[in-house]
Amino acid sequence: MRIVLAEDNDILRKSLSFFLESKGYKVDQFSDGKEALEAIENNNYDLVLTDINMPGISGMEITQYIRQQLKSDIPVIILTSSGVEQTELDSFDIGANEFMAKPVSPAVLLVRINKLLGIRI
Amino acid sequence: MTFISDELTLFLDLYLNLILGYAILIMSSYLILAYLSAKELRGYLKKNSFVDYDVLLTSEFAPKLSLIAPAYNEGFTIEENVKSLLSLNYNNYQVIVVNDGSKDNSMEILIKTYDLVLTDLEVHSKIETKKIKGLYRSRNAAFKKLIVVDKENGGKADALNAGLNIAEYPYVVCIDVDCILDKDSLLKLAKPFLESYGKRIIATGGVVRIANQCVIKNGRMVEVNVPDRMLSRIQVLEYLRAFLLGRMAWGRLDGLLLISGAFGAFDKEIALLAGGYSTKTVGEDMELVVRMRRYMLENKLPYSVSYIPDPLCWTEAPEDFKIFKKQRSRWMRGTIETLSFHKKMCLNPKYKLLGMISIPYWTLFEFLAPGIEFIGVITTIVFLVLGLLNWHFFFLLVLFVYTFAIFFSVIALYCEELTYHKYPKQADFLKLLLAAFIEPFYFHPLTVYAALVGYKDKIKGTSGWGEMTRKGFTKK
Amino acid sequence: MKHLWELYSNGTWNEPFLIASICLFVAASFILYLLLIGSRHGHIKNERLRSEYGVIIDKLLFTVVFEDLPYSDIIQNESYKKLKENRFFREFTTESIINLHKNYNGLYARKLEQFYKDSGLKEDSLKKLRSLKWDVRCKGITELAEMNVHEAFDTILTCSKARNKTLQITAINACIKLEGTKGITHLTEHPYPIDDWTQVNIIAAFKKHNVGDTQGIEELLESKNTTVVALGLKLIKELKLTQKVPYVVQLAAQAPNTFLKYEAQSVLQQLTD
Repeated sequence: MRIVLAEDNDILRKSLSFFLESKGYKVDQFSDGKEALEAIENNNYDLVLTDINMPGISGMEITQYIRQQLKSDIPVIILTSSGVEQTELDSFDIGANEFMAKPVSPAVLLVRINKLLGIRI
Repeated sequence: MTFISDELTLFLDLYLNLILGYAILIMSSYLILAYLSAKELRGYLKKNSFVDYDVLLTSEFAPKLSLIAPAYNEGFTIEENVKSLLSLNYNNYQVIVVNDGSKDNSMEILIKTYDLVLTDLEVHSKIETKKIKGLYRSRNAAFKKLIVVDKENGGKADALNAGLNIAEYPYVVCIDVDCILDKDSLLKLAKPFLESYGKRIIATGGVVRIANQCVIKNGRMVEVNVPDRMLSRIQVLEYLRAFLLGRMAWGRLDGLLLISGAFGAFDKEIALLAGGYSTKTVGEDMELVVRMRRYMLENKLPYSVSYIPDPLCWTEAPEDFKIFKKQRSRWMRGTIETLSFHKKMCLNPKYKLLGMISIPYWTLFEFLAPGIEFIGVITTIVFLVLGLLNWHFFFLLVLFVYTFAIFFSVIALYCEELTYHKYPKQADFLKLLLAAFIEPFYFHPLTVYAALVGYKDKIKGTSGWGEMTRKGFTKK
Repeated sequence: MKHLWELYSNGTWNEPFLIASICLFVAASFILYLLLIGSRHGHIKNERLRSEYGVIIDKLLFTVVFEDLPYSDIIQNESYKKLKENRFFREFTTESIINLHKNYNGLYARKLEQFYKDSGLKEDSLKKLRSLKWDVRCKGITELAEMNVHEAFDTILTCSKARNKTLQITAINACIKLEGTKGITHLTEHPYPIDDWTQVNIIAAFKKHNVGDTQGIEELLESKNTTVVALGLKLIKELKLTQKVPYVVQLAAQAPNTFLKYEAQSVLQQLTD
């Protein structure tokens, strides 16, 4: 199972990657929204995990692009530290499947990922 | 020479002591300001590292801002500029674009891009402006922050006043529509308004940096470079000196006369009470700040003007000498006009620091300096040619001034290194250093010449801004 | 000195003065230039160390967070043993721990806190609180607050009474994070006015740390410091603390000035709608 992870906080990105890979997933990491989007266009991923705020393109824009331009229904989980309720509602409006507010629990994240992928299979 | 008389020698001595005295006065004041500035700057940066600006994003007490961006013939870049203004990191702000009778297709582009329709917003014209042809809002909810004012051409000050009349919020941010703003610039500009207790903050201003040859994507600064072209390169150095080594000190003393017209925030109520922007001067940004301060002093209201040293705004500097000359002579005219409108304040204790220090300083060192310098140089050369001055001494004088200029520029580069460090590339640093060596011979005479043109234009009665042809920011 | 005065009265001071100044400018420029180059090299070296240490620290912290090794096993790591006394390494490790702690919660956060204590980094932070420099104290406070070190609460509380605004705000925010409302009840006796920016920060801290027990906020309303009363009202309004309404009613009746009276009434209006 391939996951794409877009997060500009270096140590968070690397640790999440480490964690998910130890659980059997293959993770492609990106710190820039634009690069992540390019990768999504050119590759087949099973899930998208993205932070909401990133240099270049925001997580919301990525989700919007995936749903509207690529017309894909690949599961998308959005991570955020924003704490603004409106953002949460907006994310679901745009088509994200899940929304996780930081601080996150990697174990809970794993359960959500498994669930989303389980449903797909 | 045998016809040197005693009186002539005395006169010569006096003259030499005078110019030396003037030079030492300027140099000492520059060094004192530089020291104060650098100290303030270090303190600011330390404090800033502990500030969480994001609290302003979610607080209902965050100052509500109305951005006013006058636009004239900006059709080439207006879509991109407005888009970047609408995507700033702040909640509770509106963007008022004032189309000042553009002769190009700016209005059509705006209407099309933002799906604008005419609305009848009630305008209470507190300040008289040229006629407003229409007020537009967008049908698209994503652009609900935007208002576009279409009006008859009246100049920048007039357009800003139209914006002041319409602005809904208590604080206005006046910007040049083609400036590249840092994403968090509104957060930083708004914070001082909350910080003072007892004193009313009437204006805050930020630092303007030069964007020539920088890489800009989607209206955001992506990569900072030092321009290759010497004219713009030296301006980078000049801006560094002015902002890092000068303004911060004046800000600390609260004697700052000038808030850059490219980016500054004002307390709308005071701006209106003071009468809004003056259309009678080309230096409307400086003149308004002086008038607002004067208003507070005359009404005995405690106040302060705040200055933020972070680079919040990037702008295109003139690369062509003709346009450079127009810009600098305009600045000189603006200075002359402001100083003369408010000459009552000069050396008047009623106006405290402003009257006793800021205005005289500005008069002596910004207004009169180019003239004094010109006369000094001509006189010195005449004496040299007549043999009254020996070459040896002349050479020492030149070296004295030249080495000081380099010294001061190196201070600026050092200060930049310790603070914002925006030019980390070795090549960029060397480019700036080279510019420091060339500046006194190439750039400085140009600025003096342009200032003299400013004197002439003012005497002749020239008015207006002249054209600034927009190149748009070149993307690499 | 006498020689200089003689020169001056002689009238021939000009030339030596110029020569001396020129030498001074050239020398000073040169020195600054060297300092500049030194500083640039320092930055480059720091960057290099960061990437080098970063690799080691990442591996270390991942082991701490995701595996269940006791501390005694972790420190067997060769690279860690070599570097653990290095100051820069320790600073950088603390930085990374804080960063991860902000992003992870639950068991993972506890493991980080345990490592922070065991490795002595907690002591480093506590030492910062005793520094004479306010910015070092601020750094220590933010670290201890993030890592939930409750024992530091009293020291941090003392820091919050400082005159330095930044230190004040940092300390108060830390107190709120550590002990919730208990972190600000002392403000009732605060001698200086609290400006709007500080108030906004305090309110934001309350919201961010989801302070549940608001017992004691009403005490702010009784303060003689009018800015503190205003803060209390703002908190009640923003956090929608309807249970405090009776205290606000009391304030509205006995308000010391019209501004507070008006504010109290507007809060009442909003909460009782």
